[in-house]
Amino acid sequence: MGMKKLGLVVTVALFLAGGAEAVAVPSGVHGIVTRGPIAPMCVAEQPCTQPAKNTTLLFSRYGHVVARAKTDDAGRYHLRLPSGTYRVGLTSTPKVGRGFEPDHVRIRTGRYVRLDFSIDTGIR
Amino acid sequence: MQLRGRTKLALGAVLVAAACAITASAAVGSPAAAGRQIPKAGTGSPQTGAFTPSGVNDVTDEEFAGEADDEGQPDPYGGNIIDRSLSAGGTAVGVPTTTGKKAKSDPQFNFGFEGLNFYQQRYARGGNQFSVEPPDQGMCAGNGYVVEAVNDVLNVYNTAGQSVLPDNTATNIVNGFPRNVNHAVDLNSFYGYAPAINRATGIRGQFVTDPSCLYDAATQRFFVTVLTLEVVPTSGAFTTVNHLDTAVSQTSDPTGLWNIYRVDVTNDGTNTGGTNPGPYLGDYPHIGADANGFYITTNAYPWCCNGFSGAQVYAFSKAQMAAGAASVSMQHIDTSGMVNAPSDAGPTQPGFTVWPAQSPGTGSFNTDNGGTEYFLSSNAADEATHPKAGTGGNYVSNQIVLWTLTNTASLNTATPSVSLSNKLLGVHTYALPPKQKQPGSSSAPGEAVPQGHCINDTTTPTIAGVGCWRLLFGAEPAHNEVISRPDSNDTRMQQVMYANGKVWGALDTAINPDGGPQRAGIAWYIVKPDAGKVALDGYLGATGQDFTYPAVGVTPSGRGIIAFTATGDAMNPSAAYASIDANAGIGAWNVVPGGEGAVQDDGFTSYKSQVGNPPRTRWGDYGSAAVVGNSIWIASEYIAQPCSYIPWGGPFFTGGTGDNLLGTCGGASHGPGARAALGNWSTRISKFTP
Repeated sequence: MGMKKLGLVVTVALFLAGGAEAVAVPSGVHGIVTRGPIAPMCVAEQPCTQPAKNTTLLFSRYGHVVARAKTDDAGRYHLRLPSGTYRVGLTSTPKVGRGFEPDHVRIRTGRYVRLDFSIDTGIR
Repeated sequence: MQLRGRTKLALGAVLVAAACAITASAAVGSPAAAGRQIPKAGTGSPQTGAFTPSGVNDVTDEEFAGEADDEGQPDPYGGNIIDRSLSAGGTAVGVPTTTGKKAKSDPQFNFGFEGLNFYQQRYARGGNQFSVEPPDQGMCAGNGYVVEAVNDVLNVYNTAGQSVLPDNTATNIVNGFPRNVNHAVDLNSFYGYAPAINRATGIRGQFVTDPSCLYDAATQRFFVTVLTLEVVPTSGAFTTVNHLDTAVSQTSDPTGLWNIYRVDVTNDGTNTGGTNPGPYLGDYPHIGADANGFYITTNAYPWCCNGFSGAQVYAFSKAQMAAGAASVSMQHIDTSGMVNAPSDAGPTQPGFTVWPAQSPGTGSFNTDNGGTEYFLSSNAADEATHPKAGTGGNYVSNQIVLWTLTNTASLNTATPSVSLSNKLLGVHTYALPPKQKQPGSSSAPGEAVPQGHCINDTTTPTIAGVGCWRLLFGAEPAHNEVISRPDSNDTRMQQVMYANGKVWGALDTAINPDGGPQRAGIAWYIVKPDAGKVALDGYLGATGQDFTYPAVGVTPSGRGIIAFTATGDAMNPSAAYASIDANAGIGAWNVVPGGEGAVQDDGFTSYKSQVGNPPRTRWGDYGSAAVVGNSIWIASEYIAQPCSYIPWGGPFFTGGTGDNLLGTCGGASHGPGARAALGNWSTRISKFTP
């Protein structure tokens, strides 16, 4: 298992496991992670979510975590990943439901995918 | 869509006989309740407070970037919760059950009307309101009145559905014209606050939300509770200070004066792990009452971060509140660590949405053990299983929690001494439901869904230029909006009643009707609290349908109704109901007469360009049911009125005519709008005799 630090928009840690390919391919995923609702009702002129800062996303294949990405203060993350389909979560605990969504990403060779995630605060 | 008179057969009802197992669990005792004296904070009334008419010289037009001032996919539960009654061969017309017993409840529809809606909400108090979602249905009835409170407006009706508040149309001026909001009064006025926003100055008033209503027949008083968040007036930013405001009618007439009691809940909660420190938000307040007490429960969330800080229970002397005492005694209990089941905080869980029971009439209270109040909660959510992390659970459970508060008569003494305990009860599996589907979900909005259609439009000539989107945004958004899938709630407990010696409740769950695709459905419970066991439980679901936000009402004789929103592959969001009783369980479901959804939900939280991606289309967040004698009033969110693209745009489209408020379909006479630009929710109030 190897790990490389990538000096991109945010701190990104990547480690490989379970036969994942080498990292030197021009593909990956980036986006924003938000948490919400941040108030019991949503108001059209006020944000109903906020950036999920310093949040670690775990990308898994075949049941193994193969990469992590940590968001910055604006909730942004950026991760270089080989092509393939990855399950995404906040912890390694298997999960169902939509406390965090979406829960997977498909990376295509040679492309960076924009994918935003949301965390359900439970506030209603 | 016309569904009246059509019997619904596709009904899921797994009925469990009284032999339902009880999970081995010792009752966990109550921590010491903390007492406080709550002074009366003032008085309020359902009369609109002072305001400056909005529209002509507004400084705040953030809703409509292009409007000139003078122009006036979810991740489903991985398992199956199969509707076995259908799998076994379907059900007969009438009340399909597996108990084989005759149903007590046979609801007869008496009457119904459209309650508060988005237009009335947005344009109450001269338009010095925000567009908000969801409505959150607070409704109660008694003494010949029906009181309805939603985010962020209130009305009082007679039993014929007519508002009995003063007609405020003539003075309710918005953009130069009087606006008929059916006499509705904004909640900020009701509680004595400044307008939610003064559109002439941009100054914000208190953020009032989550209304609930209860009529207590014993004291003949109405209670309306909200959560109020203090804000920085110039920006609207939350200060983190928040309080529960309870208005109690001074007489049995809700159109008169009300006394207001205010409880600061900013610091009520438990730091579950060092990463979730206070202050806290007293979210999702709900109310109940027994013979002696009035109860509010909240979910305490840390303002700072993920995690959960426990359900909070506030117990008041009902008699003191009803009498308008200058100061009311209150006991506060933090449920953190009280449920004997593991979580990421250790061997116990906090309570989550511990919904207090209300009882019908004056003779249904439990007066044993010095007076007893019951509550129900569930424990599938992260709040119960992962209060430290706030995430990571599997959102599945086969337990609910029965809470018992005893010695409530002491609330009316100088030395209150109540005790709260709980017991885990085994039930059939429930799990986080998938989002609702409505006709055309995930496809591009047509002209019947005008806000979404407008965002995607780049060709319509408007007063702001070519492309309807210019009426809503300053910068061009992506034009890829779709008809949304409204939120289906999580697995938290919904309205609870104690009636006929039993505790009744329901919650939202995933379900596989007839073994088919997973949909949102309802899990319901009838609990015998004295025996500490579940008498009956089961599911309500139907193929091609989603049922959400159940609210149970039960008469003293044990005849009940569950109100809920029904949506489906071919059904717009509609107000629906089913019977429930302890003999036969759940009965056939149907849309309430007049409650058929006219079109799809078109609220601003449906769209990425309005709220970010992925959007969470707000719906609910709860329904309501109220019992008066042998009748049950129910209220649910639905979409009442159509308003297609051209009249939605009106004079904002080049050459168009109509209302000078965007999106109301109010016509050139500036009549009552079907909706407002950014949303179209409404509420349906119906009366049944079960």
